[in-house]
Amino acid sequence: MSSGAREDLQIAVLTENGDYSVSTNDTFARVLYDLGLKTTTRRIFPSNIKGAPSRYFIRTGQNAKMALRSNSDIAIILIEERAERVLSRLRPGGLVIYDPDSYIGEKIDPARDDKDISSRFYRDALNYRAVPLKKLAADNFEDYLMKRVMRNVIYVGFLSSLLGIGFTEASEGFAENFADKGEKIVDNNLKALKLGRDYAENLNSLTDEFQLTRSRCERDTLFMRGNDATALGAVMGGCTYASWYPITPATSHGENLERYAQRYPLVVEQGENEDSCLGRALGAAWAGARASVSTSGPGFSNMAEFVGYSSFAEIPVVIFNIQRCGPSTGMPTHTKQGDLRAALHISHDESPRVVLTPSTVEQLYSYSWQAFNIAARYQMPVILLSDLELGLSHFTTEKLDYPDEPVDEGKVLSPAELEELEKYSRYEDVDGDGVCPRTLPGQGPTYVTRGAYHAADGRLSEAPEDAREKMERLFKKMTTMKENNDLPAPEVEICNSAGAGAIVFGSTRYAFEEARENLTTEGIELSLFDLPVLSPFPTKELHEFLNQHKKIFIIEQNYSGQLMSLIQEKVSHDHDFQPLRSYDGRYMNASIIEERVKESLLNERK
Amino acid sequence: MSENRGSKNKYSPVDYETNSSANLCPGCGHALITRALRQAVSELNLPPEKLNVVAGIGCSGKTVAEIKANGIHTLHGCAAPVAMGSQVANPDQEHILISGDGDSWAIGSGKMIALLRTNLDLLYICENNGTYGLTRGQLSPTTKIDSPTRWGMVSDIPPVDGIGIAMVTGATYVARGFSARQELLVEQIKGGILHDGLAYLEVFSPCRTFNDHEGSHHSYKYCQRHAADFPKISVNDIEADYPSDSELEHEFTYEEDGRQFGLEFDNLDEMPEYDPTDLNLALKTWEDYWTEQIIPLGLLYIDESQKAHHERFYSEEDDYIATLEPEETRPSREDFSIILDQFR
Ligand SMILES: Cc1ncc(C[n+]2csc(CCOP(=O)(O)OP(=O)(O)O)c2C)c(N)n1
Ligand code: SF4
Ligand SMILES: [Mg+2]
Repeated sequence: MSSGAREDLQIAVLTENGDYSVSTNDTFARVLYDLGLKTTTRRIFPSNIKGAPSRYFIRTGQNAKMALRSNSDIAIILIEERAERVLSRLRPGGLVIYDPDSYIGEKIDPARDDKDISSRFYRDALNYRAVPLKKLAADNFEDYLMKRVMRNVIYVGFLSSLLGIGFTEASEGFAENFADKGEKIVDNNLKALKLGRDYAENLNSLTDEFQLTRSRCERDTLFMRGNDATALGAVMGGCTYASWYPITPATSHGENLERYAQRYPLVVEQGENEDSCLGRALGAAWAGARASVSTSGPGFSNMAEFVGYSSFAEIPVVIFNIQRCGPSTGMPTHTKQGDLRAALHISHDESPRVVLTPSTVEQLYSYSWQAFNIAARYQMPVILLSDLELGLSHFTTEKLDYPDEPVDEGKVLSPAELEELEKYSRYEDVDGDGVCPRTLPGQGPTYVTRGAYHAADGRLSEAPEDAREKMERLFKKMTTMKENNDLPAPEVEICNSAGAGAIVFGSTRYAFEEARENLTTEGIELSLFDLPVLSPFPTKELHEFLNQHKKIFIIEQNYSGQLMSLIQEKVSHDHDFQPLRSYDGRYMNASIIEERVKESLLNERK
Repeated sequence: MSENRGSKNKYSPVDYETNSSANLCPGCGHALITRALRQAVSELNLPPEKLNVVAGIGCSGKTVAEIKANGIHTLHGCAAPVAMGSQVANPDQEHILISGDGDSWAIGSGKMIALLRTNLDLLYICENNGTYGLTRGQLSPTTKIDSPTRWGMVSDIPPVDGIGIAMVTGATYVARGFSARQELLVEQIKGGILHDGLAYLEVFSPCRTFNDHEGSHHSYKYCQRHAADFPKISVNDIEADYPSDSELEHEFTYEEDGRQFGLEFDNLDEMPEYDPTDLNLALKTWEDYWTEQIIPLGLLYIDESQKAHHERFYSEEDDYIATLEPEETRPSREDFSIILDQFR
């Protein structure tokens, strides 16, 4: 067996949902990151609490990428269901770790005389290693719960050894992570780690080919989930009021804010449903707070009427939509990018809103804080579309910067400023940019803020000229914000020789980056256009990009090609657009993109 | 009470009039509530800028146009959450919510429960006319059994009992008024505004156009005939109204803008068996009346001992979030670095 110097390794853990392995796996991923390894995680899990197969992936290494790979190097198989599928996605030479005292163990244990080579769990190209996890846990821990939980820590102990991680390195991470759970829990974790490690070290035939290369370079990185980045962005955007209602995969954004609320001037409330959450946020914003809500698909639909209200009554608010697979209940724990059109059009009739589409952790963070300034400046809803893959997965990311722009409340007149005015009308566009100065209740003259048509002074009016003026002015804001460069700019990377380019947004950017690098080594170059905002649409920039490329791949995770149709509507119908779509709830990976790109380019040459 | 009351006041009811109209039908009960509201806030000497009036959709909610205040006209059934956000963001403002029976108890019913259980410091006025006025007289969730609409529709589904729900869900001031009893209404509104917590005031407020006909259980006549007295209250400016009698015992006292107000029960001696601070008794009595289709008018229940919702979010030294300067809303560079440490 060759001694490894792995720089990019992927581990898959197949287990039963709710068996307490998630926090163990999270902690292990964190340990790997702490060792200086680029690390990312993914979960493929069912929408239930206990039972049913659940997969946890850790991709790690000095050269690991931030997308999930289509295949793994090591699999820990703890249950039978779905095992075949996980095994079929192991690379040749991959290692299967299983428990001999399980059904699957009975079938494939090479040490057994009656081993079943014809078993669907047996593959020639793989290596198998039995580790008696259950037995070790049963023999060494007292109560029922610990026997179950520590089984997971034992396999981590085993893995650490396999990957060449020192016991102290691993145990420090676990001790730190579980410190607040008490000494007993920490001791149990360390004991279990040691059991797993000792088991590995006592095997004289354990392969060293999975040992990870580590360099001792200085680094300035962070390890966080997308929902950590958006919550942090909200706080740095000066958010002072947030309301949310539990929903996968947006919950952790709200829970993060609850924690920030203990230290910073931020009120966080769990509302009774999502439209109420948005109503509360708008009430707070009207009173003078900087407000936001966070949700996912079903909750977003629930907010519909208030979105238009926010736009029409001109009350700033930020709406975080961490997309999941819909429609309806859909697949709550699976990813998709199907809410583009919903974000653009949600609420009856028509009303302007900003729709941001961050695609990396850095963007999730910076667009989030910018969203609060944009909402305040243009007095309208800003919808930030994240997705389940971004929201729930951990990423190793460049360090984040303190916002380079002050908190801006936009045009809010102070009592002193009001005094200098001869006359004030809430909806009078004094400087012609579409945005009218507002006042806060208690700080100025009284008037009614409303969702009904009104004249410039805020009084009800159904006069056609007032109606026209209102609509024209509302939509004018969309042009103003472009002229003022108030929106995040697209990240564009042009390869000169490239005849082809790709447009991405959201989580697929990571998979695309990897595919792009791989394709380059094969002599295929692709330019990149990372779309930061859907509304107002960056027509000019995209037009330029299209002009530079004959063939354009449009990568998106929905069936009907919502982005593609938008590009056709806003930029051009006549282009060689190559749709690259997935809509099965699964994470995008580089192989899918590479294959489709190659296929398309080959066809062209034929 | 004294005729010249409020002589110390800077404001008179006219100061709360606006130059816009809600265009209600002549004789509409809602207009009378607006009138009482203006009277009440002037007696409390509340500057219009200090009033935040949050309104739902309906003829009831439309009246926000006729009260000089910071108004926000929201969505059908959605005034509650908007008021909650606003009140929590800036409890220094006095919050009044105006809603109809459909707005509150049909489309807004879930939000009502959520609001009532918080004890948010605001006065909730439910203008109950037993019909959907603005959409032309359909059945509402409070339409009584055997009370036909103007178009002859009859419901045999029992009506929602807003007062009962408010009491069991956690409102700490529950009163029943009638548009046509202005004096009572003014005192009820004043008491509700001063009350430190959630005041639910349901006003029997006839719809002149669609639900004031013979046979309706929501007409002016019906209410006059079925009304029964409940504890009446009066709310007085202690210094102005009792200059020489500071010894007088008030049931509850409040401070508003440096002035002391006292709340008293006027007629409790006539109903010795009743105690408006006893929730069980209040509920039981109310339910008896409800079954007998009697309309008690007065203050049914009061509890001043519960903490108001916003107190959950602020300590003594905290500024309210709506009053922060923009730069105060963002953590400092040092804090940012501390936050990032957990991700490093
Ligand atoms: C979401 C929504 N559905 C329906 C309507 C139409 N609508 C307006 S007012 C109203 C009923 C109002 O009844 P109520 O709350 O009792 O107020 P009233 O007019 O009787 O004072 C309805 C159904 C609406 N504005 N919004
Ligand atoms: S329809 Fe009824 S509730 Fe509406 S304004 Fe006329 S009388 Fe009042
Ligand atoms: Mg009504």
